[in-house]
Amino acid sequence: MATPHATTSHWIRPAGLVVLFASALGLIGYSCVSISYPVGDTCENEFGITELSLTHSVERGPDGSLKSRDHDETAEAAWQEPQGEPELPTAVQEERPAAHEDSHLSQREPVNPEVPPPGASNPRITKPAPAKPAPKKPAKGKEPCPT
Amino acid sequence: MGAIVTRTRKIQRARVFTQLSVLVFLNIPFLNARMVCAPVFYCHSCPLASMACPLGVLINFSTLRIIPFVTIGILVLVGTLGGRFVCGWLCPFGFLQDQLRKIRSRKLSIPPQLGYLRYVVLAGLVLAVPFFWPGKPYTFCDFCPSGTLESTIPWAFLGVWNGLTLRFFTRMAILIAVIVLAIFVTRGFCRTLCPLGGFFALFNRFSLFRLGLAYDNCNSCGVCRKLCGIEIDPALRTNDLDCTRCLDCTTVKHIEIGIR
Repeated sequence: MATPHATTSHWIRPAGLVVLFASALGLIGYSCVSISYPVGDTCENEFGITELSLTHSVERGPDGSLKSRDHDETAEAAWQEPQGEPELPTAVQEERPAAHEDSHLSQREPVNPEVPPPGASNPRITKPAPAKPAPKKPAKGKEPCPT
Repeated sequence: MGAIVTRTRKIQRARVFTQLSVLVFLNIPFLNARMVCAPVFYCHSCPLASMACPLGVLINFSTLRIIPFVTIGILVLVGTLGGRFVCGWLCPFGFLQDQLRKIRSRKLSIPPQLGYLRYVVLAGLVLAVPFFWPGKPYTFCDFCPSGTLESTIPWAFLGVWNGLTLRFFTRMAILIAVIVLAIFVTRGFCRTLCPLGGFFALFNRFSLFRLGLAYDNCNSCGVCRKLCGIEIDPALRTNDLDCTRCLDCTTVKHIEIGIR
């Protein structure tokens, strides 16, 4: 059996591995159990924020709070942008980041084949973009987002 | 020597099978697991992507100024267990580079100091730029070759793109440069620019599963060095930062991988 050349004390590496392993599990568990973020009127855990961020559906507002970006407005703007349609409101244009120009639309578009891609003529797809689900309202008498 | 070649081919076949399996798994959209990152370099904007890219998550959370505890936990967990084993056996972009390596060409050497570029990319384009300039198109995702290959090009075929813009040409140029690099330098992107590979490399020396050399039995024949595609001498630099744990060198009986 191969015996590696010992360059450190025998207990330091196993102890370090245990600490790292426990820390990693602790981070994951802590996020699953304790962490939630207020996004508008709803609360999202880290998994929700991850999914929202993939489609750029959440952003930091001017006041520093997280807020969701309207999907309908996003989809409509995505339709209009490449076709040179009437200008969007200035506030929306300024807010939209220019990141991921080529994959930006793909990130903004949900994985939904029924959502018509902007600029593409596809007569088969006639359904409009999916409506944004109604935000969940917190129960009466409770904090909107326990943290 | 014939036995070593046979064992090497078995390991390589197993590695290809594993990499293809992971590639298929990452492209099952009905899994709908994009709220969790897969610890590999794969773009979550791919039309079929089932999981999130850890770099994309880090960038998005840095933009939102939130600490991604789950993503960091997953990366630390995977690194602690196997170091860069993910790079050698699971990463789809690594699989692409392994196949490009087979193109007959003169293989070039690169100085190991170029590996520090990975940490510049990690600290700058992944963490600092989205944190200090949120919304600006200068993050790693805006230049990512994996994103170009797995997202920009497929979506362009599906009719979702902004046309032949400067950014499109920039991304294509970067992708072509990375492909050319992979042809002439084994795992060139992994060794010089991949921030995820740079992160996992930090765990290589002390991960739970790692390589071990039987120094007493080593006769310095150099066979393990010839088997290594990363130009590492496993006898001298076992568990090097650049080692992707492809395990080709373990066909030499003096080198083993295991819990040690």
